[in-house]
Amino acid sequence: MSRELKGIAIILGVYLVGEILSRLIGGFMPGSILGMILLFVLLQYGVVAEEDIKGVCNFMLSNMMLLFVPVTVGIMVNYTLIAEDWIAISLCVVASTAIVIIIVGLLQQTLSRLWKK
Amino acid sequence: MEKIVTFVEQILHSHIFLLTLTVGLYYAAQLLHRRFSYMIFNPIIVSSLLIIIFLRTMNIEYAEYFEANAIINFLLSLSVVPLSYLMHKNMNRIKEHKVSILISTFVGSIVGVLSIVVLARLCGFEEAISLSLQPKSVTTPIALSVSASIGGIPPITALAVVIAGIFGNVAGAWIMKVCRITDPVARGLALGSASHAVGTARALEMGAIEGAIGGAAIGLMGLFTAIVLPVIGAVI
Repeated sequence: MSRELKGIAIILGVYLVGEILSRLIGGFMPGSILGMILLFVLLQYGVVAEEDIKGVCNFMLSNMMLLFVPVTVGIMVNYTLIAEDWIAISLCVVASTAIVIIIVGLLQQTLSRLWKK
Repeated sequence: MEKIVTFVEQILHSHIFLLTLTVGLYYAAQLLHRRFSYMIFNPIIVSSLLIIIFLRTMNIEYAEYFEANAIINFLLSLSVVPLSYLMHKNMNRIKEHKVSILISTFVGSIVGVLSIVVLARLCGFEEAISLSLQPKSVTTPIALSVSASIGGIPPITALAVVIAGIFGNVAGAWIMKVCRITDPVARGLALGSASHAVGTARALEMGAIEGAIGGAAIGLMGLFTAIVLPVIGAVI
């Protein structure tokens, strides 16, 4: 039995438990985020060995950008919803994203230099 | 002749073809990106545009394409789980900065929502549009559920989330260079907070620490925004 298979089984299992928890709390947090938190706890307490999921995690993380393509292609249907305003709306989103990058980046950088912790 | 046309049509509409189209064009776009590493050659933008043009030309409905690529959407949700491995591996680094990370992300979630409120008013958008754009910096599954609960229009939110993600992925590194944000923790946190998993994918290319912090930022930003949004909505 290969290590990759074990890794896939662990990740799917954790996601499944996250999904169950998500439904139990009425969908407030998605199952994937709860699964991420759960696997993190399991790794921290040594319940899941880092070695078992390392290969699968690295593979998934290094190819993550591909997974956004179908959602992005969805622009071809959704853009009609904002047809008249699409430039203004896109600019708002872009400007706000830039503001968040700058504020979070500068704040974090300043705080870590100030406190060194 | 007619038989050949029907045959080709059947192939073009098959799941295996539409799935190969996604993976194949993305791979090709990545090769192009390696060759000419300009911002506009971002593999997500190039491959999505080519796919949109192809589907339009061939008269293939988006719903059909989306169904054929269901496995990729499943993997998209699943790919959030392995981020915990990165967080675990870089836990020492995260622990050193835990207080500042919590403060910066919390401030980021407020700034992300308030800046949309202000910009949307300046542009004179309807309230529903503003509400739809507010959760834009959060990972898709959280953004959609939050949007629906505050009275936004989920498909517009999905679009805003994609734009925020791609913008951070494409221009984030440049913005941080201009603003002299050089600290790896700050870079990862900024990209993950503003542009969720798409930004984190870019952070991962910068380094393991950037990627791990980005992963943590996705979870924190989702949590904080879900809490902050209804409060801001009630105050304003």
